[in-house]
Amino acid sequence: MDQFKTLVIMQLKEKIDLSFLKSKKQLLFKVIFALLGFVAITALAYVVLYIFQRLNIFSAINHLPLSLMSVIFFIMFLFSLFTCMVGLSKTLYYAKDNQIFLTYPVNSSTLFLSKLVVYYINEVKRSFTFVVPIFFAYGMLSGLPAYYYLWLIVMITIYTLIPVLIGALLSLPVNFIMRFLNRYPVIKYILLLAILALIITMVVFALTAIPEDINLIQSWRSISQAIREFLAWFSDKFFIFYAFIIFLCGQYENLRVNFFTEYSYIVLLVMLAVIAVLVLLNFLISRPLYLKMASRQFEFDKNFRKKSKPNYSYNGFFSSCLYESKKSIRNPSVLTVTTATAIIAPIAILLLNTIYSAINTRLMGDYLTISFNILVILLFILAHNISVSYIFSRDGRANVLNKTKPKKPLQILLPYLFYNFVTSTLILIVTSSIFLSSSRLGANGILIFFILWFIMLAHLLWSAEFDFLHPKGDKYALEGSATVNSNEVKSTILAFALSLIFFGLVLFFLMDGLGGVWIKLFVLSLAFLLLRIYLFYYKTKVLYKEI
Amino acid sequence: MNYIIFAVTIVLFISLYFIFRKFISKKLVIVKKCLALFLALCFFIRYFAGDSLLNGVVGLNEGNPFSSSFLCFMVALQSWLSIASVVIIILQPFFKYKILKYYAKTFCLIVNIVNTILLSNIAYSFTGTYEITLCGAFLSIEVALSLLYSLYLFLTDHYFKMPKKELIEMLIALPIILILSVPPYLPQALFGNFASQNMKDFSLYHRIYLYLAMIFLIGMYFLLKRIKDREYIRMALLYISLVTLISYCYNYDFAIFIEPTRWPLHLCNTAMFIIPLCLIFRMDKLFYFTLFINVLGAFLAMLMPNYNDNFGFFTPNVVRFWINHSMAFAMPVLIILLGIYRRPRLREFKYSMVGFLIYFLLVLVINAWFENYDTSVDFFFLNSDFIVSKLGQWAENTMNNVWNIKIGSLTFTFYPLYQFLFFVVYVILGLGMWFLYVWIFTFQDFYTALAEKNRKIKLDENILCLKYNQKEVNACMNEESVNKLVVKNAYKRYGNNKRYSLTNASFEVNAGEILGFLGPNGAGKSTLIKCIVGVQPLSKGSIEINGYDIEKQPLKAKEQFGFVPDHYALYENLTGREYINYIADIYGVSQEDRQERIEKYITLLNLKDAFDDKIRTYSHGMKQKIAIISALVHNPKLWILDEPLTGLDPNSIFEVKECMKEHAKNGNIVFFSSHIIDIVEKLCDRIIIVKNGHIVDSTTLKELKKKKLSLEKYYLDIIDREEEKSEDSIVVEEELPTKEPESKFFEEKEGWLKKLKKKRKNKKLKEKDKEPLKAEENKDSKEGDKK
Repeated sequence: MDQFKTLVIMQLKEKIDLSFLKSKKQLLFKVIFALLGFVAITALAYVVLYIFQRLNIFSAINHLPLSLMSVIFFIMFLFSLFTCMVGLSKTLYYAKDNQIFLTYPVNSSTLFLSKLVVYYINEVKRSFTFVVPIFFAYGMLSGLPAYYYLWLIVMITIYTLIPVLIGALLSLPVNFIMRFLNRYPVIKYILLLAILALIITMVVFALTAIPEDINLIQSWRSISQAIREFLAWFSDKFFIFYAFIIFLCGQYENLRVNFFTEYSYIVLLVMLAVIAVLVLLNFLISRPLYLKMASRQFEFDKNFRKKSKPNYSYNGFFSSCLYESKKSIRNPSVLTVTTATAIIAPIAILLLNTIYSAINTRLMGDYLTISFNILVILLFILAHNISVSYIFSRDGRANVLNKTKPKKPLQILLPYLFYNFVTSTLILIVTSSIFLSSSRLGANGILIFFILWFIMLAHLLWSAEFDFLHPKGDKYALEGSATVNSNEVKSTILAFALSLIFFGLVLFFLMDGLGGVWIKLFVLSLAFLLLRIYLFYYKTKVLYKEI
Repeated sequence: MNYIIFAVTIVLFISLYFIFRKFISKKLVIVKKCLALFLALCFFIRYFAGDSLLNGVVGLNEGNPFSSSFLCFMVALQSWLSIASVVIIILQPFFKYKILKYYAKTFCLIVNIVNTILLSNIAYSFTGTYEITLCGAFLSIEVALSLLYSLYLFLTDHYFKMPKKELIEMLIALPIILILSVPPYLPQALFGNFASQNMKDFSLYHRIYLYLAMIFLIGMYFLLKRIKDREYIRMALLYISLVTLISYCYNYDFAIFIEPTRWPLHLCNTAMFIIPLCLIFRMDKLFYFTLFINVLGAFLAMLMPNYNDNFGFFTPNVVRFWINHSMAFAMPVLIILLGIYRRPRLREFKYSMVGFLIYFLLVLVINAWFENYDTSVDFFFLNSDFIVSKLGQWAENTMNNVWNIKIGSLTFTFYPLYQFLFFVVYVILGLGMWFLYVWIFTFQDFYTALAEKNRKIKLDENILCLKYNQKEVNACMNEESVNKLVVKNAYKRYGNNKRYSLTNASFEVNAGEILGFLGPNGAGKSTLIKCIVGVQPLSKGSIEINGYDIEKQPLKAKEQFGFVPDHYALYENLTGREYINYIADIYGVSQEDRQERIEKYITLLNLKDAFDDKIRTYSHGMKQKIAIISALVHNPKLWILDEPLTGLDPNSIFEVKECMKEHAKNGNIVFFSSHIIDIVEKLCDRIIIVKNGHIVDSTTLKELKKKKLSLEKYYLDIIDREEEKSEDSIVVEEELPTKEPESKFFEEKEGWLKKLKKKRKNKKLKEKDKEPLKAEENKDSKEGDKK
């Protein structure tokens, strides 16, 4: 038990920065900021749910149906399951700390369990960041009693075990499949092509399915009817989730909410039984295979190529750009994000604009269409660049060696950004072309492209700045990844904030009716970019050698 | 009549001056201060006794009380400039700065001469009559006194003589000084009021005022932060707070003292009085109240202004509103950011909250009491639905809870729920303000430190460039260090750690030498190596590689060495060949050289078969070999290796050793740290032993052989000896010679820079002088050739 405790604490300390516990002031700040973050997400969820309620989208009466919450919960469950599957696959089998842990005099079951517990704690943290605020907002909107919130916290803490345990189970086959695909790259590429073909087919199908003229007001009744039918279908077919939501949020009886009915005890028992079964399955299947799988990562297949290649020499800066880009392209996670963004972003914009163009909008509708397009494009492009917030740290200790190169800091750092700069610009050209071709913005389109491009570049530089000022190279060198990377969190928040701010500004200036909207935004985004360029240059010049 | 009072005042004060000349010359400062206070009193009386007719003037035509627009313009202009002039003269005796004196003897003198010419018209603009009035009389005394004061300074202080630098400073500051003292009625009087504009709801005109408030805050901060003297900053802020207070009080008269309903008890109004008080006297508690409470209130008020809908852009009430709120918003922030008051801590926050509670209770009672006499009384919006109406029905419902308390004939009305919630929300917002301030302070500290560092870097660069007469210093700085590694008095401390990881390390390594760097774990070996290769900057001292300083000429210095770290740190997604070519490209190695060297080393280290595979598939030893090749691909002058042989197979260890010998044989330096004493003994010419950050020994292997000592025994003896005094040898910050203060550093360096510039200038001048001579010589020689 002591060994288990030590292992858990060791890993937790490595993954979570607990230095704030030493200072009362820092602790106070941390708690208050965490609370503020929680309140902000709850408030956002409240606003969204409030709009749903007021617009009567999901229910004829002014009410949020439980079936809607079960759909939201289902989506979050899928997301959680996916992240657990991928995350646990990395944590259990690919983590570099396994090299050390496997040599400790602890049995593999203790190590396996400790890794699961640490992951579970992180997952609970994630649940409290997203799931709990949404259900808090629901509780506030529905006027649920005070004990609901306590009940919710306890139940979500227990429920989080399910995706973690399923993820641990599924990480095994995922691992096998990935190894298999890596061994036979032809099959991998065929599979990727098949997925691409499927996506294109689905897009074409979706595009043809969109009617040429959508009149939201006239067809609202049929649309809302269809939504309600879908919710009913979902509650019927995915009864487990619906039942869990009833168990979580209570059952309405004569306009009163009852929590502790016989029904809830049954659901609770089922939930506990599911957890027990999953624990048993993990114990029987995953645990025995864990040691074998984890240690296999350090074995090398010495299958070296015999045919040697020539040496090429390039100009210094070009060479840096070339090799840094090669590093990015050969990094599966970076390539996956780029490919996914390159496929999904244009499709999303195409679908969105096909729907918009089918709707007969007024002036305000046109403004909203333009603003939403800008929001969606920015969200995609900036999300694609979040990886820049660990671009230097990703090299582990090699990042530190950059300082020994006889190059100015900018000449060392800028080539790292080349890959994201090129890919993001290309994606932006495609997505904005789709948007602009379906809008009537004319020559302003060029300005809009540059506005988006400037914001993208500013975010790129700012994210890179987070990393070079606070590098996490040691963490990446040790674990191959950082579960909680504060730079990544900052960059994500920045991406959302910038997208929302510019969305708000576009809408505000359009509604202002004073003209010169795009010129104002162009000047604003250019000024913002120039400021970021200046600060990036300034900080690299002054601080790079000290970090 | 006004001129008679003016003349009497002049005569009286001149007579007094000559009668008490001796006393005045002895107690000049006190007399000046008394005069300034008397002037302030005169100004106060005439300001509160008058009611400016200019309030009603629109665009110099409508409501013009004068016969011509030009006269109206001149009077309006003078009434504006007089505010700046009076405040400058009042402040002048209390501050030692010359700039005030210069303004007083030039700007104020001119303003007061024009005032004297227009005296009767200016008096008319305040009273509506050419007859003698209280306002007119005190205005005459004020003008006379101001004129005398500025004239006295002009005559006694070298007339117009002033240094060029101060003249420029004065001319730059003048527009700011004037803009800030604009009375609220002036824009309307000059340009009209731009009525029928929406001045709320973030309309263009509302936004312009918001932008101006922000520009004022940011602009003043950047303008004043360059000034190092806090007293000077206090003077500047006091000037701003006084002129804006005068503008704010433009429609006040003596009646206000007996009409409590007009008292400035609205939260932001209080700031106009609190700020000058805090700048004149040291009033900590009051200041933190304004910092936490007024700033927030003013910001919210700027977002939701409460003036009438039919007001125009330049309507005096609108201008007054924005002067009031932008000052209440910006001034406390400026005061704290510019360091006039210290940054708030928990204690100061508590003070501000107690202050807020007192203010809140006071306003609560005053509102409830005065409402009996005037129903419009609503200080801090505690008795009206102004705020709740903006928040929706749920907020308005909080006002349904009403308590009426009857005391005699008076009824005191309270809205307990609304007022309690109001208080709680404001306290929470105050807490939010604290966090915001902490964030701003962190931001400010970071960028201030950044600017200081940049200044240091620039100074060093400039000095170097001037010294070597080059745009970029690429030349070898120290001829004596060529073909050498020279470490001089090197100190290294990490972050804020008090302990130095490296203390006073000094040594030289010559070309052709292999130097072994020995020491136990944590002794400071890696720290020194990191400093040599530029991964960590030194805290003190210098390192020169082949004549180049690693701190001052990092690029040139880095070209001189190749480095093998203690842990392989490679780009694992590249192949071995790609990685080596990448490094070769960085060092600009030619195609032929790289081809030859790469072939040589991959054959030598038996890496040929794996060279085109990705590095992540390599074993530990193979990665180490790649690191070694990458360090040698550009044939460096200095080869630094930190524990290089870990993980290598015996064959490779042998080859690496051979490489090291060969590299040294070719006239290069090999500097390596190792724990394997046998290898060091066989390989090195010289060793350095380091312990607790000190170099404790340096000897040649030849000497050891002479003494018939094995390196192992020698090393262990030294370490044991040092172990006994290890505690004493740890150097903490206090024991080191105290660091030069920042200001001294800049003074010294800037002085040096000036000297160098001067030398260079002289040199150029001399060369210029020689040029005509040379030209003549050339001419002569040409002519000679022709002949």
